[in-house]
Amino acid sequence: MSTINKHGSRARELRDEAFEFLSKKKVLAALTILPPMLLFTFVNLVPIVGVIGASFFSINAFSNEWQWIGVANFETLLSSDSFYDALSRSVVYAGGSVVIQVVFGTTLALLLNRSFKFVNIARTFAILPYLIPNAVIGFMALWMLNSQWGIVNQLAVQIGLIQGYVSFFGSQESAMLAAILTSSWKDSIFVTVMVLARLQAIPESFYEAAKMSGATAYQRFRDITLPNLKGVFFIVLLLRAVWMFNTFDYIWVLTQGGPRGATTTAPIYAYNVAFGTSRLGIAAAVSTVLFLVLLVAAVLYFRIFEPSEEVRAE
Amino acid sequence: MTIEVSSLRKEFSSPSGTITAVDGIDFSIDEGDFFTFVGPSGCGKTTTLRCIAGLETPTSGSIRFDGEDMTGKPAHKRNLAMMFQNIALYPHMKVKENISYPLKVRNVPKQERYENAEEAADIMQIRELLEKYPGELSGGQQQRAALARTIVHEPEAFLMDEPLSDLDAKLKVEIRKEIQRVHDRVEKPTIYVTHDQEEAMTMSDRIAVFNDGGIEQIGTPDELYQRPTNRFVANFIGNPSMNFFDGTVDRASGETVVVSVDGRDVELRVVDSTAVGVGDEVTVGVRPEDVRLDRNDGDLEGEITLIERIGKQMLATIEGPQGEVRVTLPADNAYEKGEVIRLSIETRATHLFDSGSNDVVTRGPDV
Ligand SMILES: Nc1ncnc2c1ncn2[C@@H]1O[C@H](COP(=O)(O)OP(=O)(O)OP(=O)(O)O)[C@@H](O)[C@H]1O
Ligand SMILES: [Mg+2]
Repeated sequence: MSTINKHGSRARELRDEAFEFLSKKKVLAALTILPPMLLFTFVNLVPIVGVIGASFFSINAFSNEWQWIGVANFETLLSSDSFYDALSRSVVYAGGSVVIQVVFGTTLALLLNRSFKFVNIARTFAILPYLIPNAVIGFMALWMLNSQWGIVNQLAVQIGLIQGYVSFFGSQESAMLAAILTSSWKDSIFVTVMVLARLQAIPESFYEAAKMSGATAYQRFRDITLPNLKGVFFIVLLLRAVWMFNTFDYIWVLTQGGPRGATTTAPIYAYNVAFGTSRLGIAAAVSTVLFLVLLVAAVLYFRIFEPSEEVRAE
Repeated sequence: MTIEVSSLRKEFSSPSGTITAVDGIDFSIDEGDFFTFVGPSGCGKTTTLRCIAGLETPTSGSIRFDGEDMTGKPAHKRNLAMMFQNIALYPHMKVKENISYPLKVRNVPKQERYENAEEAADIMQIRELLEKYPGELSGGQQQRAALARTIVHEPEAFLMDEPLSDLDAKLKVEIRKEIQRVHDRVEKPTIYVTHDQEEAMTMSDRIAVFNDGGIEQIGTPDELYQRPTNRFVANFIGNPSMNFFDGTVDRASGETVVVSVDGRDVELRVVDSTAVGVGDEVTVGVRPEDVRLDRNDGDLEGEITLIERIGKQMLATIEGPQGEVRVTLPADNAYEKGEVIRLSIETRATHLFDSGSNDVVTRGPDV
């Protein structure tokens, strides 16, 4: 009895001491802030600084010889047409994807926000594609759009949409569009999830008050739904644009940047420079420029749209 | 416009079964009537109002405006202005945009909209808040903004669900007057929901007393006060509320009924003694102003347990074998807490209720 008691109280003492120690302000701060700080440092900061640093060197990929050449890499890059082409393709790819994802994703969210039978099942099914890895999506699209046996070609011909089978990824005209549509299929769901969450947070009473004021369904959408979605659109546009601008995996699986460079966006370009031509210094310079472009774009975006003004809800 | 509601029923299904919020009610409201729903919390006032508004679909029964059946007519086509119990201002619009929203959906030009909003804001004493957002307003200011929104609407009828619940007593009286002034000017029916019987008594042309999904009685404030048809209404209307004594009828003849309350005979004058028979279980209802206190004389006895001030008068609570009795006294009375006192009932001013059904059976000539 007494030993158990002693044992119990000793354990409690230890526990209390540990709790006391952990509750100290500095310890608590260190324990909560340090791990993410370390993670950020090694996963983000070190590579970023490393890449920016590397862009001032001429680097031999095989001997790992670093030679300081100042801004020469940037000069080479900024005087090369192919870089500007890649950059503008990135803008087209990102812009097109964002527009399609926001339009399609929002439409889907609005549909799923209605109440109907089996709405939960419908929501689950709508969100499922988001669990499929990008590469798998890419391969599925390759087969579905295949120029000889693809189901899309088959159906389109049967319906009469097209005369003969089309090589969607093989032609310079359609490759970019096909890549945009493929990437948007899954990523629209991201927009759907964000928008749906916001839609569900709009109190029904706003709609009821608007009805009593005589507002039609369209007016309720214009005056209640859209203003309440402004904030989420602001974030979603930014996130999707940055993400799509940097996307590598879809395009690599679908076209490797082809045909004849039609889908060589900036990330593909950087990859080709780095591993195709082994000019690591220039590849680092490409990444640095992309980083700066995005940074400036994001700052401008915040300046122009001032989220503190727009995100007014409840 | 007139509003007729007949056999209205509204059920909600919930995981634990069906809830009958409104259980077959009937009433009609004339052009220009100020009609009030009163009743305790959860008795179906808001649900009834929402059915009239078109925000809920009745389970059965009908709602007619000017004789025209409203079933299937969506809320936004009914042209009613509603003030919601939870206010429901739009947080992303300034107060002036909120107030003028009913005009916006009718495509009234902006300039004109805001002029109307300013007028309505003046009436509600919130002119200086027009450029703010609802989130920056106090609860009472939000209520007044929502009221202003109903004013600019110029609807066929007003539906107001506890519009003054968040205002202080003084402002309540002022805004009450403004609501009545607007009501008198536009001559449209107003349905006003409150659980404050005093508000109902001072504002209404007619009142419907709700209880547990049904209507207990409909009448003018005077009718409800003087001739309640059952014990619930008698208890709910009037502040401080009526006293009740359970007893048995001893004798009934002519204009006199003698009721034995806790072994003591109380003699009452009534308009119709044939309505009761000897041996009937009855409840005697008497208002606090119709009970007199005396140190020596009286039918009943009790101890003063509380004396409190209510306005110009004092209210004494007396505990006795017949239960708790409330009595109003002049402010300069000499009674003190703890005194044992005798009570006598104003014999010509009582209500007699059947103890079983709680319906009124007869009452005194001077109620
Ligand atoms: N949407 C709903 N679903 C389920 N039950 C409901 C719903 N709305 C109301 N009820 C129930 O119906 C009954 C009446 O509610 P109602 O809101 O009409 O009461 P009320 O008289 O307005 O009360 P209060 O004075 O508290 O506002 C309550 O028991 C309530 O729980
Ligand atoms: Mg209510």
